Amino acid sequence: MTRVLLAEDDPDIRHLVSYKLTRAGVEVTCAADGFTAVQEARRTPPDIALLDVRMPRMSGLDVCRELRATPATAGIPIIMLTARARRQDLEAAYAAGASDYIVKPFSPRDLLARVEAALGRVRI
Amino acid sequence: MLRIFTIAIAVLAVVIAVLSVAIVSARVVRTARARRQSALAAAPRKQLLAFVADNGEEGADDLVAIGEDAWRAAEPAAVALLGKVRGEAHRALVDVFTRRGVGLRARRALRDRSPVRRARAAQTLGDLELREAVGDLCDLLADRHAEVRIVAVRALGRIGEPGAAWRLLASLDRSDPTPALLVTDALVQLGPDVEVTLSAALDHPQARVRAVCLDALGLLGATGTAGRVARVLRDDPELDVRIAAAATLGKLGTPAGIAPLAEALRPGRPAALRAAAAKALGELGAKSAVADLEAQLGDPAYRVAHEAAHALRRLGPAGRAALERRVAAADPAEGGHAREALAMLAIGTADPAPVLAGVGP
Amino acid sequence: MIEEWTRDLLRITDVAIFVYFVLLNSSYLVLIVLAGQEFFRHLRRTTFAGADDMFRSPLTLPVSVIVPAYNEGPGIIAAVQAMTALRYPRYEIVVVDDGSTDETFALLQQQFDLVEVPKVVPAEVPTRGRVLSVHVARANPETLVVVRKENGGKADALNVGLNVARHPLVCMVDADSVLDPDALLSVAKPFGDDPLRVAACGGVIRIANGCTVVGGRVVDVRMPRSWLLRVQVVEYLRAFLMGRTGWSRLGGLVVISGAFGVFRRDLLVRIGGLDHDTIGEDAELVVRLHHYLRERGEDYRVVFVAEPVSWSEAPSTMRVLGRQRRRWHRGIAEILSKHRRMILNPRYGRIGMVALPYYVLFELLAPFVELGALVLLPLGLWIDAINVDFAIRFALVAYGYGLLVSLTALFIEEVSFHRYPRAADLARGLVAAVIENFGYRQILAAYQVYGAWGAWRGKQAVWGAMQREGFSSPPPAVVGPPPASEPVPAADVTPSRD
Repeated sequence: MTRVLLAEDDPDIRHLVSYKLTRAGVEVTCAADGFTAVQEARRTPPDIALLDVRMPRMSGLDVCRELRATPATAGIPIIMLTARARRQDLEAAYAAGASDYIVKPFSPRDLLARVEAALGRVRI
Repeated sequence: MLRIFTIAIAVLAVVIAVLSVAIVSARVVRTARARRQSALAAAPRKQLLAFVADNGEEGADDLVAIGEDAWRAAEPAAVALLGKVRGEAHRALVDVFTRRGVGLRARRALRDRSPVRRARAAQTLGDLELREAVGDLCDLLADRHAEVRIVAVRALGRIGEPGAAWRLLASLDRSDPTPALLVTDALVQLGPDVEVTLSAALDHPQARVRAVCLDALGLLGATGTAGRVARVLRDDPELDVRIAAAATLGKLGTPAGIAPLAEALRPGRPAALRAAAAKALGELGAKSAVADLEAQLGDPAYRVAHEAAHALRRLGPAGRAALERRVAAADPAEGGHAREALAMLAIGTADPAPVLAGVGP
Repeated sequence: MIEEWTRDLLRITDVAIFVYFVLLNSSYLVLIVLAGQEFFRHLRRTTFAGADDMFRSPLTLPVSVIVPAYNEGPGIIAAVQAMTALRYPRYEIVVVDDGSTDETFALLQQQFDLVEVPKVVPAEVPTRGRVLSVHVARANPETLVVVRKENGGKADALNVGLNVARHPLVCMVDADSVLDPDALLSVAKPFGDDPLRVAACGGVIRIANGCTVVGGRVVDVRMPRSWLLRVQVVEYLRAFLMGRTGWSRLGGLVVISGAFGVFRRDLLVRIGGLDHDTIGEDAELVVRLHHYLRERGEDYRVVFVAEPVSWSEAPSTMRVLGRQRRRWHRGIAEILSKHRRMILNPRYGRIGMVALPYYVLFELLAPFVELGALVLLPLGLWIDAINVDFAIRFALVAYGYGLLVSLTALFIEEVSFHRYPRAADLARGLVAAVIENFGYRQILAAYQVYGAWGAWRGKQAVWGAMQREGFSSPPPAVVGPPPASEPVPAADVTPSRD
């Protein structure tokens, strides 16, 4: 089964996304902050990571860099979630190694599509 | 005297006892209430999340059928959700609110006597992005209370109806104006349809209105107005407005801005304007302005020299060469700004690439 | 034999002291009730405060956060990391290393991959210590700037920070402060909502001792373990949170703590930055700002945001606490003497006519009267000027009223922000309110009188040893990001007036 690592400090969004993805047949591991997310990823490397940019203890960008630097997770798709969509933010995300970028507020349907697309891209 | 003291002691003792009891009971009551509320809200919240996650395809009727008490407990969570999703999930959720009569109640509350209730109602209407409330919200821009006006401005931005533009601008032209940055933000959210209104308002007698229009045009990327903005840069009687015009030309990024900006950069103009012009030339990516900028590197005004150096840093090889020339030519005490810019260039900063050079990620 | 007139005199003095206590506590009560109203107002407005919109807007005024650091090695990394995680759209962090002799800079350099940049620092406000070098973080050159300078004291470090700051708002923060994630949003909001008037905005300081801090964030609020700290928690509530909220309501706020306050940079540049030679440089800054703006007849506001935002370490030993209070009181005395022209001068409006006279009467003089009562009451008993019944009742009323005031503060905290979730902490707060009035205040009064005496005796000594005293925050404050849930150990001195 596909495993998703979801790091997001807003409980509503965490529940919303994990509900959506679980229904789509994906196993979701949640973390409420960046540091926990890295630990989770070390314990069991996920197939894909959804990271909020602004989180306590470690920002999503730092988590992203960390995942990229770890061999087990270096190649997985990483999608960033953020409330801001300025060009600098986008560039920073891609520079950190993100594969995609979803701006909050987002459409749940769109989010699922992006996750599936990212997974598909890797499978090919 | 002693009697008075005795009475005072008795009174104090009673009040202290009452206060202690009040503190403890406040805690008890609050905890109990919070528990009840969260129990009430638990089921509706779960329903709401599922509803939104499924793009509101099913379950709308159940949400409408939730009892008033439980809904009231869950409403803050529902409103928060509105701000977190978009697309059909958002529309479906708004629909639930409408069917529960939330929008209607809020519109009625816009005329409440309490400013807090008026502001709350305006906030709700903004959250729901209710277009039919735009007229009422525009009237609220003239509210007696500043806090209500502010919420109305933000709500109008959220709703995004371009027709509200001129009312927003008018709210700036009062003795107690609405905050300029908030209005700018709202105007930008109204989208490109407001460009005509903004451009027309560049002739407004109130300087604050003109400055806000310029900022908004820049953020909207209204390239068609560049010539008009350049005229403001040259002719406006207010320095602050001219500075805003310079910044706007930088953001618009059209070559039409280069000559007027270079003109504004000349010595003899106010330093703040020259600094803004230098910065704008860098932002615009005006490679043809390298010589003009290079001439300002030794300017005695800190801001001018600083902005000129950092503008050059963004102008590619020609800019870099100009900075290097300056470092080589000037004595160490003078080439500071150029040296600083070169050092930042070496790091490679997170500054967005110039607009003209404009290849996105 | 003691003359009858001596007895009369002592009797009258004792009654005067009593009246003073009643007035003092009544003034506290008025401020607290005003604060209660303000909290209620504030809480009713949170639903439409627009924090999210402010966070998303590209137009929200950017802030330069200035962090003076002198030998902050043990905690500096955690502090800066926590500050980089604040919820605010655009801000830079300017750490000013004021000639530290420990590894403060080395740690920063290593952690954030600092690169030296030959930055031209404008001399917009006067400084003393020379700037040695300026560094930026390689990954975020626009977000983190570290300035190394020769030691010159906290005020000088802040002034250098002001010169380096690029943004229109500046926020002064102590290096050991733990900020709530929304702290900047809360405190910068008044500038956006009332841009033409708001000149400065202060935030609430609470006591971090006892709380659990993870990754530079307070995640669990609880009462500290020692009674000395618990009493300070109650005191902070009463005096700083509610006292200042009350003054803000009255339009007479004259103190914004250096541990967390936001100012318009252009105004600070116009008044010449912080004063190098005052002990309470943060409070002096606000008084001078009032002085300057009132003199020019400008329409402005200095406000205080009731939302709790910043958590500071409080001194955990009597010795250090005493030293802190000595310094604060000396600061008050010096500021009032420096700006004495404003006192009772109608030109300075409420500041001159109400706030500053109040500070003279009820802040500066309070410890003198407090100690006076401790001496004169027994003396009156001894020479039979007053009888035992009178003395006991006197004490009960005077101190009982103080207790009532503290309890009112606790009550208001309980119905408004209620940051302490545990029932046991509630009980501890009640007991601490008693101790505060019977013992704590009296002991501190001695230190405060000593501080005022220091100000009186002369200012020549200030610039030697004293300036550094408040600025050295010693041993380990491990507030890890990774390592986790340790409460932050106590700092020696809270490096500012609260």
